[in-house]
This record gives sequence, structure tokens and C-alpha cells, in this order.
Amino acid sequence: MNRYRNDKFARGLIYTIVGAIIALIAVFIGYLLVQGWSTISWSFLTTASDDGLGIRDQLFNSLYLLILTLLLSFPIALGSAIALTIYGKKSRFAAIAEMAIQALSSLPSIIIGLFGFLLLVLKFKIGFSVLSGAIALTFFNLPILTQSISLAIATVPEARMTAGVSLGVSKWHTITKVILPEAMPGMISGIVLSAGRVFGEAAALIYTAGQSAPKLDYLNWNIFDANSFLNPLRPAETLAVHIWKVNTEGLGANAEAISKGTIVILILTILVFNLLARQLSHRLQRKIYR
Amino acid sequence: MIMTENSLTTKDVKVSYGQHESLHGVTLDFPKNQITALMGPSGCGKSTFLRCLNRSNDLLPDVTVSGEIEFEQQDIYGPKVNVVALRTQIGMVYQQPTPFPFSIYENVIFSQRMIGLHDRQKADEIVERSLRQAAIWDEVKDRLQRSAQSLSGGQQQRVCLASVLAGAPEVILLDEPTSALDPIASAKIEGTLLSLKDSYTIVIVTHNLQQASRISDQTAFLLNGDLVEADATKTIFMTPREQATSDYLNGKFG
Repeated sequence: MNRYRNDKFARGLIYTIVGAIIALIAVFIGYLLVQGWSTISWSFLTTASDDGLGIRDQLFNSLYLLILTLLLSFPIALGSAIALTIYGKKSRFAAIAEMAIQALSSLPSIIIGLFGFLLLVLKFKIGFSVLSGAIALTFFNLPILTQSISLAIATVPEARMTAGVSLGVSKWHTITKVILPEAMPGMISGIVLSAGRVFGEAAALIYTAGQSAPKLDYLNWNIFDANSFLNPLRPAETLAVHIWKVNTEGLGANAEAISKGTIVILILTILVFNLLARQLSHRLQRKIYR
Repeated sequence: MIMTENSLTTKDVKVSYGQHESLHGVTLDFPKNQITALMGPSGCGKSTFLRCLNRSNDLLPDVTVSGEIEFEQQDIYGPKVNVVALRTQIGMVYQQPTPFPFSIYENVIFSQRMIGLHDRQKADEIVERSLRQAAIWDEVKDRLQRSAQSLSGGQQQRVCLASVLAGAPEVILLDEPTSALDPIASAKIEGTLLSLKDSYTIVIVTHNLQQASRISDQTAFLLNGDLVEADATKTIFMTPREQATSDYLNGKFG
């Protein structure tokens, strides 16, 4: 009888803990949403901060930086994941590389920011810019992305490789035509989840992408112009950095409202990423196992 | 004595995993258009030996293979050998069916696609011929676009065999292809193999004695990494030379 009671008790305890965590998150997000909701308006999203409340340029900068970061980090992460999980499997080199990746993933992002500041901004004279920020975020993103892609590849049965090779198909073709497509749903959710982290990152960007958001001209496609939205060498304050700056400097009567509104936009965007990740990987999974 | 042409010849083949030698020098020839059965208890080295024959041991880390293995008088471990092309000529079917998560059609034609086959009509022909040879055409011809993983185990195994056949191999290696299947599916595979013998050289690993006696022309008995004896299947089963073979056949161990 006692054993059943224990089981019941443990189950109750676990559900209580899970419930408490969910309630905590709900209260936390709900509070932020309620606080910031009144600030959100069409003009909040579509005007520059120089002209008042708006966060148009910060929102764009965040997305632009994210895209550049993913363009830089995805090929590297994919390559290292393939090297570690398929070619170098169980090798000494892979063990050392994996340790390095784990160490890098626990590096505080402010350290990456300061490192990027010294190396990119000062030494390479790139200045506070989208490019410096994207490279710093690549350092920040690589370990996590490599790990999640490795994990996605590792879920593909090993038999695929032996089967492919035994049919007289090269290792490379087996990887690109069989293993990677099968790992795709996992990779997509890994990419999008890491995108959420990158999107919300502030510390690594304060000294690399900078804290100013020059007013951008969205019709100027000349990437060499200082006010072109595509110029990778201009400073680019992001949403997360904007929140930090508004709160530390606290300039203007609307600082609090701006900060709260920006938080709402940031949270909602990350939420959208997560939902997208789920949708996309579910859909791909269905497509593969039709 | 009739001279039979050998497709594969091996001489003193030894295999080590790391420091541990698990095959201690096997010398055995595989006559063309015959079925050779490799039998023996689990861990005797029969699968290890089989995997040397198309160099799929290369995929495992820490494996060293020594000795000579020649396929049509060419050393397959020689420096100039194109391993990928070699594995097209010497195909392999595994114990567990290993279809890719594609349609049946794409599974069969996969290796051909990878070497640049795009002609629709030719692909259709190869798929039909291969599935017919693997004796599964009638069961799947109306659902070639369905996922191969939706088939039963026995059907999957024959689709895998068809995928190997699509590469037009000379030799087919089978590593206990029926041990994950029920008797009816096994019988179908055996029948298929017998009908393929005229065009291919077949090597099958099995620990099913009845299977070896039913389908093979030559049988080799391996024990603890050594080749105990190899001879015509009839001779091995009726008048084995070695005591160990006789004991194994009589079920004294296994």
C-alpha cells in the first residue's frame, strides 16, 4: 500500500513543481505585456527614435543583425557538426573540439562583446557597426548552433550511412542526400531557437554594434551610404541594447514607456520565432515520413 | 575436377578491432555464380569477414585488415582502388532492412541517381527490372511512390536487395538477411536468391543451418575467428572432416 502512496505523492509533487514554473512564466510574461501594451501602436513600430518614441530602426537592426549572424554562423556550424558527428566520430580531435565548444558556450556574452570590441572595433578598425556586431554574435552563436545541429544529425540512424555506402554511394552524397535532409527538422528548430537567443542578446553588442541608431533611409539601396539601411559598416543599436540604454540613461519623460514597449516587441518576436520553429519542423517531419 | 572460375579470392585475411584480433587468417575462394554460406555461432567472425569483402569495415574506426582479397584478380585493398565504385560491384544487404525515408522508387534508383542518371525512361526500366529480380514487383508496382518504410520487414528487405541490384553488381553480400524476418518472408528471400544465382555471385552469412543447406553450393564453417573447414555444402553437411563442424551441425553448441 505504502508504495502506491509514495508514487502518488511523488507524482503530485512533480506536477506542483511544473505548475509553479508555468505559473511563474505566465505571471512574468503577462506582467511585461500588460505594462508595455499601452505603448504599442503603429507609429511606435514605424517611426525612428530620433523623432520621438519609435523603435523602427532598432527593430530593423535586430533583424538585419540576426540574418547576417545566421549567414555567418550556419555554414561554419554545419561544417563543424558534420566533421564532429560523421567524419571525426570518436576521434581524439573531436573530443578536444567538443570540449572547446562546451567551454565557448559557457563564456559570458559580455566577454565576447569586449573581445569583439578590442579585436574588431579597435584592432581591425571596423568600428561600431553591423558587421562587428554580427561577427561577435557569430562567436556567441556558434557553440550552441554547432551543438544543436550535431544533435539533429545524431538522431539520424547510423544505418543510413552504412546503407548508403554499401550501395556504392559516396560518403558525401549519403550525407547531403540522405542524412542532412533527414536531420533537417531538428536543424531548423535548432537554428530558430538560437535565433531567439541572438535576437535578445545585448551584452555582446553594446561595444560592437554600438549604442546609436542613426535614422535609416529604407529606400537607399546603396550599401556604401551612411544612412542606407543595408550598410553593414554603420552603427546599429538593437532592441535589446535599446532597452538597456533607455534604462541606464533614462533620458526623456517617455523612457520608461519606451523601454516597456520595446520589451513587449522583443518578447513577442521571440515567441513568434519559437512558434515558427515548431511549425516548420513539424511540417518538414511530416513531409519526410509521409 | 571441374575448374570453376572464382569471383572473389581471399588469402590469410586477418582483422583487428584496436588491439583485439577477431579474425585469425581466413583463406577462402568464392566461385562465380554460386552461393557461398558462411555459418558459425555468434561472434565467430563471419560478419567481420563478410564486411571485408566490400571494404565496409573501413567505416568503423580502429579496424585493420591484412591479407589478400582479390576481386576479379584485382587487390581490393590496393592503393588505386576506387572504393565507392567497388561497393557498386560488390553490394551488401544487412540484417536489419535499411531503406531510406524515400519512396520505394527513389530507394531503388538512389545509387544510380547519385552517379548522374536523369533519364526518366531508363530509370523506370531499372526500377522495374530490379524489383522484378528481387521478386517484389507484383507487391509494390501500384505504390512505387509510397514510402519504403511503410512496407513490412520482408518487403523492405527485398526492396533493399532491389536497390543493390539496381547498381548492376557482380557480387551480392548478405549479412543474415532473414534473421529479422518471419518464415514466410524468409522463404521468399531464399527463393529470390536461388533465382539470382545464374547472374550473380552470392555470399550469405547465416546461423540458420537449414538455410545454409537449402540454398548454398559451398559452405564455410567459422569458429572463434578461424575457418574450420569449407567445402561443397553437401559434403560439409553429410561428411564433415572436422569434429567441431560435426558437433556444431549436431547442435552440441551454437
